[in-house]
Parts: sequence; C-alpha cells; structure tokens
Amino acid sequence: MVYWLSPSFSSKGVYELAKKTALFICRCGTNIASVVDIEELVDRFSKREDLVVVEDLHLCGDEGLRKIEEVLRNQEVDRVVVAGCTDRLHGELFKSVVERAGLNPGFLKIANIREQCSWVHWMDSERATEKAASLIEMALEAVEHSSETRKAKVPVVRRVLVIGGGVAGITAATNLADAGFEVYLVEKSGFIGGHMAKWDKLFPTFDCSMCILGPLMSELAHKPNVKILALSEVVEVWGSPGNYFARIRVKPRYVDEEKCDGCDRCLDVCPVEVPDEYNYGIGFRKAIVKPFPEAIPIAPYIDMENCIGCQSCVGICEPQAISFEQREMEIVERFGAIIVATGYKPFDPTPLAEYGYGRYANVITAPELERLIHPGGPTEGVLARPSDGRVPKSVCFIQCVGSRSDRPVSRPYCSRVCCTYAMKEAMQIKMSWPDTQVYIIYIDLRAFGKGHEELYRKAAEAGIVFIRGGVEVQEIPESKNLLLRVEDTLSGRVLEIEAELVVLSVGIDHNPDNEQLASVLRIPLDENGFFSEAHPKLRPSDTVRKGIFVAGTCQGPKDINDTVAHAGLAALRCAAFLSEPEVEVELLSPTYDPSQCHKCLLCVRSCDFQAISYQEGKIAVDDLACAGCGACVSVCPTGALELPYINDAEVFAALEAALKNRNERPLVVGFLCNWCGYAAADNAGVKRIPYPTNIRIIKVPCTARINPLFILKAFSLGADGVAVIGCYENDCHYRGGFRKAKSMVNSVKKLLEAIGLDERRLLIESVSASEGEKFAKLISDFIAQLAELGPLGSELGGGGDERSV
Amino acid sequence: MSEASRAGERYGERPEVAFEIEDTTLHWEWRTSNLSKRLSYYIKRCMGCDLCMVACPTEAISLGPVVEIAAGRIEDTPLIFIDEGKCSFCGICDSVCFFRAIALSYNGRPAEEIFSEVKGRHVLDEEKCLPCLLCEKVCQRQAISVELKVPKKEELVKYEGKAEARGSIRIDEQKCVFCGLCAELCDAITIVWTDPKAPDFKPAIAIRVDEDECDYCELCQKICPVEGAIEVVCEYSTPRVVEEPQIEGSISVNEEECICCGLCAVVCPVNAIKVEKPLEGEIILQNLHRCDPIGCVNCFNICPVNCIYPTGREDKIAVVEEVCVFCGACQNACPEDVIRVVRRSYRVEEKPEADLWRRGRRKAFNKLVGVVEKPTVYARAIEVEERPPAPLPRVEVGAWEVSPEAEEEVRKRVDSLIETLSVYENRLMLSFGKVEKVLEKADESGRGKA
Repeated sequence: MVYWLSPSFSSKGVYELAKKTALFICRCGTNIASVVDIEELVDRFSKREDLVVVEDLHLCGDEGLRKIEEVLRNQEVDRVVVAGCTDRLHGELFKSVVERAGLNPGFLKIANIREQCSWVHWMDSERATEKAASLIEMALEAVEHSSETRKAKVPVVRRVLVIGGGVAGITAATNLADAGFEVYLVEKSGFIGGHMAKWDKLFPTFDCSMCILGPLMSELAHKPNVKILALSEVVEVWGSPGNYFARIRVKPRYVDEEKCDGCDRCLDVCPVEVPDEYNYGIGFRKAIVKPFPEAIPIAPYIDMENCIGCQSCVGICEPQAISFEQREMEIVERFGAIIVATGYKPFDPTPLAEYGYGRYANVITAPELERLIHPGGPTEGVLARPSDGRVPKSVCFIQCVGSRSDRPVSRPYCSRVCCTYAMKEAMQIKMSWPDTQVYIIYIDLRAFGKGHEELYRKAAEAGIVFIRGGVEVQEIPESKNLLLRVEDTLSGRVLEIEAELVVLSVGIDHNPDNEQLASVLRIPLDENGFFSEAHPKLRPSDTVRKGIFVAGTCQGPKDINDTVAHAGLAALRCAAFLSEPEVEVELLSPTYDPSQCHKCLLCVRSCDFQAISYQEGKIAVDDLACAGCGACVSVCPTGALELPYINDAEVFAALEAALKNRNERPLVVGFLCNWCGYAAADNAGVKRIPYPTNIRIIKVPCTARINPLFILKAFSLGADGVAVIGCYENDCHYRGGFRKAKSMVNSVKKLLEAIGLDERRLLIESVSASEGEKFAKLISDFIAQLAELGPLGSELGGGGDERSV
Repeated sequence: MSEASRAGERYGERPEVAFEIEDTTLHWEWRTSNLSKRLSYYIKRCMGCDLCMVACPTEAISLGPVVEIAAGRIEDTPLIFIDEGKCSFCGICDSVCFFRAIALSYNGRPAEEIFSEVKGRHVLDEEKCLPCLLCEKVCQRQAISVELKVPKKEELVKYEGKAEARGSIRIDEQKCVFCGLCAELCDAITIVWTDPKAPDFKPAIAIRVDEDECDYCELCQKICPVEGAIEVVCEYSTPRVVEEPQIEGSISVNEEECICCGLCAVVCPVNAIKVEKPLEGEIILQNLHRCDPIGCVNCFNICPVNCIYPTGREDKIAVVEEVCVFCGACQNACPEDVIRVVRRSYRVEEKPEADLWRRGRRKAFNKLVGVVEKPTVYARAIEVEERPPAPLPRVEVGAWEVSPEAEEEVRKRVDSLIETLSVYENRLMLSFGKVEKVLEKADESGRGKA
C-alpha cells in the first residue's frame, strides 16, 4: 500500500516489503501461557503463508536463542517478530541474536504480550488471547515497514572496575561503557540502584527517581561491555596504574541470573518474614529478596541467614533457576583503572538522646519517611505513623540531625541535602494530605542549589511553617504523640508543639566500609571517613594514586546532581587516562532527504540537543549529538526527515493492524513514551495490576515523536479514543519532549472539536515509571469514560452534515 | 479465592495442596510440577507437646484438645491442628519432633536425611555392658530389647559325687537393682516383676531365694553387678568344680521409639550407657493448691516417659527431672496451669548436607528455648489502616450501538483534516499553533469536494 502521508516512502524505495517474517511466540513458562492461549495463536498465524511461526517455553534461554538463530539462518526470513516479555527486558538480547544470524537488528520487532497482556489481563483469558493476537499483528505489520539499524564506529576497549552500584557508579559505568570501555560494576548488596532507588521523588523538581534510574539501570545491564557483579566485594588490588589486578569475591545468589525470568513468584511462596533492612527495618521482607520490581539484576537472591530450606521457591520456579549448589567464588581480573563509588550511609540518630529515635515509635528519619511515601514502600505510599498506622495530622521535621555539630557523636560538616529534601518531603506531604500541618525546625536553611531557593519559597507559600531554633523531643505516653520544646531564636520565645510524627533530617555519613577499601586500594581517607580527592578544586575526582578515581558521595556529601556530575568527571578522567581505540554504536538520528525539504527549519527549532543545524542552504544532522527523541521528524511538514529506528510507515502500519478488526469496543490506541509511559505499563504488569484489554499500545521514544497525523489516522481508522502518555514534564528524558507533545495534542483536540468529535476522546497524561497503579487507573478511567461517550461518531448526532467550526 | 483479592498478585502455576487420611495418619501433599512435598502426621505418635507449634516459622500449627485427650475423654483425635494454608512444608516440625509424629519428604526423600534435627543421643559402652535385662525392663517406650544368654547354674557347678552343701545366702533388696541376671542363672532365685514406676522405676517388687534349692555355689554373687546385694557364705560342700559364669548377649535399640530420656542410663548398674537428651531444662510446679492428683491424672497419662508421679504428700506431684525430656506435653495437658516447662538448651544432630540452612533453621530451634535473635535493624511493623480493595477494572458497555454511517462520517471528516495537513503550509500553521487557520483551509477543501 502506498502511504499518502509522504509520497516519498514509495518513491524512495527504501522500505522494501518483507518476503517472509519469522514469528517467535514465547510461553515464558506459564507466565504468558497460563493466560494467553498459545496454541490458538500458533494456529491462527500458521495459516499465513508469509510467516514462519515458532513457539518456545523460554525464548530468552540458551535453547530458545539457538532456535531463533537456527530458524533465521535456515529459512528465507528477512523480518523477525518476537512475542514475549517487554523489549525493555530482553530487546537487546534478541537484537544480538538476530544480528548473529546475519540479519539487521532493525528488522526485529517485539510484541509485548507479557507485561502488557498476560500479566494484566489474567482475569479474562479469551480477551487476553485476542489482544495478544492483535499486538502480534501490529508488530508484524510494523516490522514490514521497519528500516535497517545504522551503526557508526567509535573508539574502544579497556577494562575499568567500578566499585559501588549507586547512581554514581551507574553513571560512571554508563559513561565509560558508552565510550567503548569494558566495565565491571561491583556492588556489595544484591542489586544496583543504591540510595537513589529508595527515593520516591527528587528535589527540587519532584521528578520521579525510578523513572530516571530505572532505564539507566536497565540500559546498563544490557550493554554488552558491562558486567554487573552484585553481592560482590573487592578484596584485593595489586599491580600498577593501567595494569591493576583485582580479586573480587562473589557471594552466591542461589538464583541463576541466566535462567530467572523475573516473575517474582518465589517471593510469594517464601514463608520466611524478617525485618526489611532495605526499608530501614520498617515492615518485612522474605528470605528470597528483591526489594523493588525494577531491580537489576532481575533475579532475586536468597538470604541464607534466614532461609529455612523449605524448597517452596524451587517448587514454584518454572525455569528452575534456584540453585543451592552455588558457592562463593573469586574472580581475578585485570583493569586499567578503578573508580570508587561506594556512596554513603544515612547518619544513625540513635545516640542523640534528645530526639528519642529508637525509643519513641513516632520518631523516624527522613529516608524512612521517603520509603513510607514511596508507592513501592512498606505502606505502599501511605504516610502511616509507626505507632498506629494512622496518617499524622501534624508532622515536624528537625534539621541538622547529626550534622554541623562539635559533639563527638555528630559530624562537623553540613550534609548539603537535608534542607532541600526536608522541604521536598514536606511539600509532598502537603500535596497528598493537605490537612496535615507540617513544621520544619532548622538552624540555618541552606537552599543553595539550582532551584532550591525557589523550592523554599514554594514550601513557605504552601503553608509549611519554618521555625528557627534548637529542639528537644518527648513522647506523650497515652497518644504516642510527641511534645517538642523549641527555642525559637528569631522571636526569643520557647514554643511547645505537639506533633503526631517527628522526622529527623539525618545527614550523610561516610560508608563504614571505606576504611577497609582504602587499605585495599591504598588511598587516603579524610578526617570524616570520606575518600580524599587529589585536589579539592582542580582534581576533585582524582586520588593520589594514578588510575584510581572517586565518584559521588564516597568523597563527601553531595546531592544527586553533584553526584552525577562528579561521577561523569571521574569517568572522563578515567577514559582520558586509558586513551582511545574503537567501538560500534547504534545511531538513533534521523535521515534527511534534501529533495523533500522546504527549509522551514521547524526541525532546528524543535531540537533540544542542537543536533540539527542549517548550514549552507542545507539541514545538517549531527548523528552523535542526536538523542533520538524524534521531535524533529514529527514536526517536519514534508517527510524530509525520517527516523529509521521508528519510522512513520511502521507506526501507520501498526495502527492499521490495531484497528483492523475492532472486535472489542471501546478501542483505544495508546502512544506511550519509552521512559515513563511504557515503563509504567510494564510496571503495572510486574505488579499484576489489571486494567481493561481495550487498549493497543504503540511505543514511541518520546511523546514528541508523535506526529499529529498518527492521532488523526487512529480516529480515521475508527479508534474510539487515543491516549498519549509520557513523562512528567520535569522528568522528560529529552528535556522538552512532553511539553511539545502537550501543545501538539491541544491543537489536535481543537481540530477534533471542530469536526464535531468530543475532545475527551484524546487523552494526554503523565506518569512515572514506577506508577503502575496510576497507569492502570488512567487507562481504566479513560476506557470507562469512552464507554459513556459511546462509539466513535455517536456525538455527531445522527451523522448529519453540519460541521461546527 | 475471589477475583478482587487476586488483584496485584502474581499468577501462574500455584502450589496445590492435597489432603488424605489413612487410618490414624494424616497426609498433606504440596505439589507443583517441579516438586512434591509430603507431610505426614501420625496421631498415635503425637504426644501433645508444643515443640512443632513453637518452632513453626509460619504459625501454622495450633494445639488440639490436649486436656481432653490426656483425660481420656476423647481418643484418636489429632493433638495438633496444621493449617495447610499457612504451612510452608518446610519440615521444621519434623526436625524438632523427636517423637517422630511428623515426617516430611521432598520428592520422596525424607527430610530427616537432609536437615539437622533436634534429637538426643545414646552411646553404649560395650566393654562395660554386662549385659543385663534392666534397661529393657525399665524403658518406658519399649525401645530396648536385650538378647541375653546366661548359662544355667547346673552347667557351671559340677559335683564329683553327691551334691551337698551348707551355708547362708542373703539378698539385700535395698541394694538390688533387679537386673535379673541371678534369676536367669539360678532357678532358686525368683524375682517378682512389676511395671517400673516413677520415681525409682524399680522393675520388681521383690526377690526371693528358695534355700531348699540353693547350694551356696556363690555364682549369683559373682554375677551380681551390685556389690553387697547378694551375700553367700558356703560353709561346707561336697567336692565340686565351679566354672566362672560367662554372660553373652547384645542390646538393640528401636530408634523409632527411643527418645533419649536417659532412664536406661540412670538405672544401668555399670554406667555402660551415656545419654544426651534432646532438650534440657527445668520443671516448675506452681498453683499446687489447684492440683488434684486423684481426680485428674492428665499429666501422668500424657508424659511420654511417665516421669510424673503423685507423691501422696502435701506437695501432691513430683517430676523426675533426670529422665524428663522437657517436651511440654504435661504443661499442655494440665487444666489448672500447675506445670511450667522451661527449656534451656537443645541438642542438634547435624547433617552435613544441611549446612547451607544451618543458620536459618537454627533460628526456629532457638525459639524452643525462648531465644529470639535481635534484628540487626531497628525493626518496626506498621499496620496501615485497611483500605478497601480496588474493584477490578471491567468496562461495562451499555447500549453500545455502533453506527457504520457515523463512523464513515468521522472517517471522512478526519481524512479531510489529514489531507489538509498533508499540505506543507497548513502543516506549518499547525506547528505554530494556528489551529483556526488550518480549519479554514480544511473547510475550503471540504467545500471544494462537496
């Protein structure tokens, strides 16, 4: 078929249609197969002559991958569709197999029939199967029009050891991996993510932590040149700069990372409950541990301190990934350089008797509060006070706990984050529970970062009460409320405040493991137990030893922005130290057809990365500067720009397929951004939160990639509604992407109104990657609303001719 | 399970639990396609102690009507209840039950082969053992059988001519332990056997010598393990040869029944048996004014080693702590809260294969002796006020009559928009947010077409 949008598609002849497509359907044990009728799918698609259909129990397993490669090598296949889990999980894996089999990885599409089908539609097997079939058809149609992945050579490979898997380590590792170095990321705990993964929202912009960190972690895990070693420690380092040897002790996980499919059902059957140290002792965890659904590695680990050997996990694990045979092992590897990113420990306020932490149930720390208001935390986001589980009517933050004090149990320095995080948490409480009165008792407010002072003003305007002075806490035994005696140093009075919850803004303390690591690496610590930098101003990421660098809070208190900057610098210093060979990267940039271009320069205007410029009468695309959001492509009025890794034709083809039968109504097309919308849909899947089957999801890199014609075409093809779901404006991974999409959608809404359609058929919303619940509710509500509105066109009132402009 | 309560749960294969009764044994089987865990509970073996209940990590076990069963008011009833919904089939109950009332197997392999158990131990010093019959006689669990070969006196004493003798024989019943050797040897000695009872567990009430039959050969004195219990003086006899008696035999222990209470070790006249009990501790008797050892015999009945006895005095009852295994059955059987069992330590039979789970399972064992490990974190449980479960999203479409004409009309209108926007200038206007201009153009073309 010829696509009317850009006549160039057919004339360019780039998108030669497929001869034969291989369709691989994964059962994922019973994860998919127990809901979706795989036989039915195989039957249905086997009837098509242009398809080779193969099903497998676990396509991601060795055997499954071999099967894929064999089919691709031996059959005349030029396109591939894998129907299984989300491509955010194994997309890179399947790409590499396709490539190994000699096919361009661009000719692979993934139909997500697990996270976005079987895991959320378990209540209706029949409709889930229909939806799976529809999702597969969408992928089949899309893949026909897909284009080759383009690659470019960039310099390569030496090996770097990064110690610590928090945001500093992850940033450094990602930067180095992108620069073509091989990276070992050693993490002491079971999973990477560090403290940042525990945080719900970040200051000063209230962006969701997991939305940024989740994709970063998953991306890192899939980089072929990165090896993540969790439950591991560096025990010995020797050698010389550029040629270090490290002995790494890897503790047994007792779950085979290769086999585990991340279904987390073992967590359900494990009978053991112990206090959850991930949540600072609030609530319980199992003896098989995975503290949050986005955790990397995806495999849980078994805590042998508490496992009782009941084997229930063994019984429930379909891929038989539980392996009690695993033993501790040691790896010795050569590294050119080492980056230390061991992070910090929240200050323990127990010794500060005047606050009563550890004695009074309703005195908690700010990191604990963060876990309470986190949707994935022990109370699922409900601010419940420990003594009775009630939402407190008054909350009092106490600042500088353990910081800026000469007392021997405290630290002399300012921890730099507590003022702002307290204001952020206070605001969050105000936003979710407006009736709760919030006080912040401070000594000096230090809101010095970018946007921090503005946050302070917002907090003050929101009615948060700031009181300057010292404080003492006493419990009222009957109510378990806390009586705070505050010496208000501004008014000179002594105030008494009764608070239902007291939150101690504890500072950043050094990681107690630093001492041992310092002796292993032979680099010095400062007087507070943090690693010493070579020069505080000129070489803040270097250490006295050549080839050993420090990143993040292991060097001193920092917020996330500073940590990432510091880690970036460490990576850069490291890369510079190791010089540069070559590596291949996938290009995400648009192609440009000058013959189509009217030189309107909308593309130049739309780019937030200065990757498109107008030079000498021509548009020039800087392939390496481009982030691949596709904003330029979707604003291009003529189709002169095209994004090969997700081109217009494949989106239109997917739309046609999605709306071909329309055997369930209302039927919604969802355009979801990769980072938040699509991730939230996956998150709903991981948490098994059901929503109606009536939605067909098309993944776009950014909502800015959505061409207004995609939306109109959806309605033209009979969609009852279109949902555009992206990041919160502040979280956008391409800076202004969601904002652009929003203004485009508003224009389209006006167009729809003008032709007599109800603008409520077009939804635009933001979610964050960890808000599976919100996503499911959004979709459920939207579909319910459409059900009320009636089928597409019912608002035209008898199908008359009048058009209201 | 209602659909609403499944929301948010992970589905897929779920373990199935099947239940089966076979005489006085209850079986549960936890099954997935990978694994079968079979838990068997033998009512007959169960003592009504609470070891399994205390150690159970999921609080799946509760006590049955132990008081009534001890009183003999009901029979063949389970003394514990196992909640199969809570049970994780971990087999810790099996590992702590030294009465062997609970047995778990993994794909047919008994858990006791895999996991370390709370269990006593007995060691027999064969050098010292005579053997004699005493341990067999006293064992309250009929767990010991002795095969004994004592030569008959007639075979050992040979007279050259006529047999005649004169002398005296005296048996000190206070000293005699009733090992039975002399009676086996010589028909002149008769022991009046009885059921051994606490506190002394003497297996006999009397020992008699028929002096008419006695020839004062002194063999009984020689064979007697207790010095001074038999004193024989032979004043005269016709010439005779007396051979030394050789005792042969062996002791076998039925491990199914033995619970290592140590009674055999206590009574053994030659200290040939060493027993380590599965549990050690102390019994505290309280509220004695409420104890009625005549009307109520619950504790006497239920004690697996019968070590509780009425004293007939003011203190009413007493316990032989030397042989008590501190299982706690008496505490549960007592209707008046008279007996308190305090367990202080336990003994573990280690299995090398179980080393991986040593720490985890030891925590359960520790609960038997009241040791609860302090968590390494500041542990707090927050009970959030119950929120009603979110209803399942189902879209009920009422009168959803699709009108092909209306849809066709929508298609026409939208396509005309698309066509308008496919024109470069119009698309440009949209990008600048000039929606009205676009609509004007659309109208023109729309009219043009009409």
